[in-house]
Amino acid sequence: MPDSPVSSTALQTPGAPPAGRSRPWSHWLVTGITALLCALWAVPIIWALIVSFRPPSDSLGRGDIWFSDRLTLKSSEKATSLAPFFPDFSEEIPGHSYYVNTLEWVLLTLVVQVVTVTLAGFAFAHYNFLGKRYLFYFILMQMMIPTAVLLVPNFITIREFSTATLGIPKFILYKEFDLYDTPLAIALPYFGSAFGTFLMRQAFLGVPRDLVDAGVVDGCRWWHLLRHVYLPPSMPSLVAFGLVSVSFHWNELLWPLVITSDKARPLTMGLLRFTQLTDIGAQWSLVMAATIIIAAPLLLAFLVFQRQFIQSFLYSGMK
Amino acid sequence: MSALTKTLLVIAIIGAFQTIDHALVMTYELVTGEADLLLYAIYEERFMLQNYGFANALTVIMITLLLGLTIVNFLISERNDA
Repeated sequence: MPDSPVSSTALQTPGAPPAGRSRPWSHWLVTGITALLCALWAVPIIWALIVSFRPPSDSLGRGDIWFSDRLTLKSSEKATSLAPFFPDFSEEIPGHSYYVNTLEWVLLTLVVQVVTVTLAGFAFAHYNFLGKRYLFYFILMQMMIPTAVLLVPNFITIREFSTATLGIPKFILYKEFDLYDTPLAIALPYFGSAFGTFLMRQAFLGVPRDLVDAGVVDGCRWWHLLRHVYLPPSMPSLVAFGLVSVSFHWNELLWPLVITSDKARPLTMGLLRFTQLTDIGAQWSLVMAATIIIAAPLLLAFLVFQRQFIQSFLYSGMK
Repeated sequence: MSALTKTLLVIAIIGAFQTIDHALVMTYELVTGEADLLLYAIYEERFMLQNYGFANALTVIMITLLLGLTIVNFLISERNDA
């Protein structure tokens, strides 16, 4: 198991007795339970990986799921041919694809969030203004009443936001627009983040006041203070927030489902499309191939940035 | 229970209110009235059954519930600070 060597080395502090017989039995019990939990957690992913390599006609290997010898990429090929996961580069202008849509709205959200969250955190950490405390509580309330609950009001707001329903006459704005079914529409409700504001405020409060005062004495304007005094020591918080934000929005399902219909559908909609195939008999290998295609970037990113990921999730206190 | 456990409990309960992905993936447009989660009911009423008013009423109820939980959470954490 990946974490047992880490935990055993972590316990070997210089003053502790050497490893071996002097270890209390409870240590081995804890390690054993951890290993068991790890194995339990790993089984679905390994199962999905193996089944995704089965041919679509024989998805469960006739009962021999783990050791059946027929492994092909046919399921992945069929899955990508059934749903537009990747842009079709053989065409002159590649059409809409799930990957491009997901990347578009996740990165758009991230970029806007980083700006708004930094500025809001800066305002709450640096300035004193009337009702600051209550305004901050008000923002924190958004952490408890999440965007998903405001599904219907948000949907109506964005659905109505088009030239047709706003009734803008042609001579004022010639170009017609419709926000519905665009990556911007998916990203809009997430442009502000209470959680990020909170995280950045805490990080900025950790910056010594003396440094800020020194900056003020040297004639810094607020953007200088933010850029050169507040931000450099707060970068770990910002990175943590970015990782949590990307992994959360990558897996977002309900909001993209209602606010897109065709062009802007992200990856999770692709998975939903495959689960609908199950009424003609469970196409497990196709569903699992689609799952792996969707989860692969995050899984790979997790393997590469494992330490960073765990630290940021610990740091930010999210699941 | 420690203060942290209590706060985590409330946050976990609030998080549970938002659970919908699994219900949606497993029963999407196949079954109605089986996955009786509040958020799923909102989705179902608004986007499958087209009961606009009912969906909005459910939203208000859900916000009220979550607001109540938030206040409980706030009271617990404040009491432990004092």
